[in-house]
Amino acid sequence: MFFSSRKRRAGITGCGVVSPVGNSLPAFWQALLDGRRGCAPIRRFDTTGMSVTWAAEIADPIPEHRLSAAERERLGRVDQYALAATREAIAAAALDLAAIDPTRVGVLLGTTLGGMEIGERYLAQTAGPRGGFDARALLHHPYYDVANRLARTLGVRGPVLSPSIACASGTEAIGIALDFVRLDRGDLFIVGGAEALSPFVVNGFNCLRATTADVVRPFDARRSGLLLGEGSAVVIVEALEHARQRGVTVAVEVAGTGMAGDATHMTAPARDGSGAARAMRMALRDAGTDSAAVDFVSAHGTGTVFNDAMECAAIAAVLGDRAGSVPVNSIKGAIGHTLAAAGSFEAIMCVMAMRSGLVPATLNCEQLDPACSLDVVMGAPRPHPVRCALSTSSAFAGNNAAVVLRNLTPASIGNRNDATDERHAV
Amino acid sequence: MSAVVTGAGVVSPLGHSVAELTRRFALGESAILPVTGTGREGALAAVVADIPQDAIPAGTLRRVGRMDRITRLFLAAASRAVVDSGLDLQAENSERVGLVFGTGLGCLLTNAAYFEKVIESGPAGASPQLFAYTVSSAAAGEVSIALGIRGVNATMHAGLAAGLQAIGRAVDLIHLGRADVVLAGGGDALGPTLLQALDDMGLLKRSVPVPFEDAAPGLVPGEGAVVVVLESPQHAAARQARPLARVAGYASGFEPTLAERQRQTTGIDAVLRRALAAAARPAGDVGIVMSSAHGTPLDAVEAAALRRLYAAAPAAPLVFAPKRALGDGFAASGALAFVLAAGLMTNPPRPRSIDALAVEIAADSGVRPATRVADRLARARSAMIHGLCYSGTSVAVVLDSAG
Repeated sequence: MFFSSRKRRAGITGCGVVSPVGNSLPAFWQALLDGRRGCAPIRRFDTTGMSVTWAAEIADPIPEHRLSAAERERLGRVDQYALAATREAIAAAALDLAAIDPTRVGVLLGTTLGGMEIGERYLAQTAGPRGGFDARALLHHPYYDVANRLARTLGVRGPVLSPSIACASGTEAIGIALDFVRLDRGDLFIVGGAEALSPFVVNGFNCLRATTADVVRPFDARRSGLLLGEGSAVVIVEALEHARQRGVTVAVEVAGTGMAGDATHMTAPARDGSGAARAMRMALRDAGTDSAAVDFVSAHGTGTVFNDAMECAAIAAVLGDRAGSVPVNSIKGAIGHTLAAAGSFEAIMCVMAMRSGLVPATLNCEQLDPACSLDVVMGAPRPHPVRCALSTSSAFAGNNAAVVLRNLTPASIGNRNDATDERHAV
Repeated sequence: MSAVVTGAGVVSPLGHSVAELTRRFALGESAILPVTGTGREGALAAVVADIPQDAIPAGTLRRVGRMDRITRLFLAAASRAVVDSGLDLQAENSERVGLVFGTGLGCLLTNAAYFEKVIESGPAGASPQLFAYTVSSAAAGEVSIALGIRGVNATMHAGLAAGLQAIGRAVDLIHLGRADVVLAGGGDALGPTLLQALDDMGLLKRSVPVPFEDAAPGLVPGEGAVVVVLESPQHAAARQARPLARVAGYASGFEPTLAERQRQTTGIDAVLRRALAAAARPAGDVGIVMSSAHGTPLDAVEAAALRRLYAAAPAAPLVFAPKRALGDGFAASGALAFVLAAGLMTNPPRPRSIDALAVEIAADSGVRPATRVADRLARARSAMIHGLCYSGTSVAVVLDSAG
């Protein structure tokens, strides 16, 4: 019964990135391998009075061929990030959208902030002297508008929605795309997450005391919290048969997806990691495999005391006897916590790990928490063939999501140049 | 593909049950009234007067006070849906029970409340209690805690069609075997900040719009939440639950030209056609359409798509526009129309007032009053519910009566 309707399979045929460590897939990947830190003092807005004033902002310019001058002028930052990442993914997938039935193309893009900057400006002007704010801009404030605006720009006519399970939205979006391909709701989907930081969210995580005055240290014994990040990560999830028909070789399959709720607390994860573990097991079952096949785990790894302890328990429970021998990493030390985009960034990192045979190190994890029994990759990228990757995300409100990615090509080890060459990017 | 509806929880401006909503709608009642006390003179809205708490689990009631309005709407609707379905959640495998909520505006009202304090007092004014509800998934999180639901837990934005999209996603989850039971629906909340923002955008109507007749931008905002219990037919049969209706198919898509002057219907046409294909039936077998019409320029677009869909059908369907009575409840609207369709098919109302509530979309591009409405309702076995958002989203669900 579980797989009765699963006739169609899906793969990732393109990736695009606008990140705090580089605004293209090659730049992003190289930065992860080099251990570049994207976190710095916030420059975009006034941080006076904030308890923590660091975050991972988009610092480098977005290439002009991915965003026109008019689009820079007209679009909010979150829309710019999403559009630029999408265009890179479309180019990498060798897609000509004009040649495809638009009713078979969809957009599944998560965001927790959307056009928050617009809302902030509106509220500030209603609290103070009026003037200079065009209220019609509020049409771009609701969360759904990021995906909808992208769909309008691209002329998409298939399913368009914005998964909204906070920091696990990017992972859920990939899972929904897999289901939609299986159920023949479309042939390809532009999938990912996008966020643009603003005072709203920095103040929020600060008031929860979830942010750190140190660097982000996932799974380190000294970890003391997260730093926020921004950007957009987009993948093209396409039916394998559709990709084949247009002559594209698919390197990575989206093999399975799972979701589960903790049902315990609104802002803290279930301490035993049971919800995250159930989501991971569901994803593996959905992929028709089990934990014995997993040879890499991309963790949520926020660097908070509770999240990382929960994840250690959850991943250890899923991997069982192999917990100490399967590489695990977190990239939040490099790009911060990019909220709804986090799962999409991590999926792209998994794709590149499969392509290159290199697992990026967990930046700033230097003294592994003694309570963590996992094989956390530290210090330097590790040559390691990745055939089956498990990527997990957790969020406020007790949401957990996981995806299983499967390498469809012979796995290589340490082929750095190949993996960082954009022509070979999936 | 199918899932059965075994229960419904309704929190609406026209009553808090399917039966009451259907009865009052059929009598021609309207919940649209002038809003008071907000400084928006002459503006109209459809507001939920009291959010019922009778079905909320006792252990959760002490938490209700800290919840925001949308969370309370969803919690009340979900709790009522479970009671209505006769589902014993304690006896269920909680990992096989899921939640899928759709919302148009989500937590934006809470965001505003939270950020107004930051503007007022600086970063020190940021409230951790309010910030916890500045994710749209907060409502589903609270419902999962209150009801002990540990399966798939999803919230989605799909414009103002998010409630129907959530119901469709729930059907997918059941079909794919990811859950046996899913609580699904849509909701949105009204508040002074939203009314002010709509007014500042020039989008508040100040006279009651007539669907398919008026064509000015703007809306009469409404609010509410509807959660239905969806089950696989096998699961419902095993516990001897009596279905209220059956979801036969759904489809979703997008029309990128809705914000333009020259609006097209290609995306909507595909959605309507695919929903029927998923349900494996011709348009002529679907006798009722619950439309999104609300006296805006989009009414003509929807009418054109329906006209094309039914062009070859032997008879035009009865077309209802529930927003004429309930206002535009954002993501709640589609879910309200969904249960209203079920109510109209399950217990077809006989009052003569029902005759004035349905129209037919004529082949010659006009829209005319429908005739023999009560008789045709009594014969109807299927309905199509269509949600259309100004920003492009279109979702259609085909619903069969249980009889």
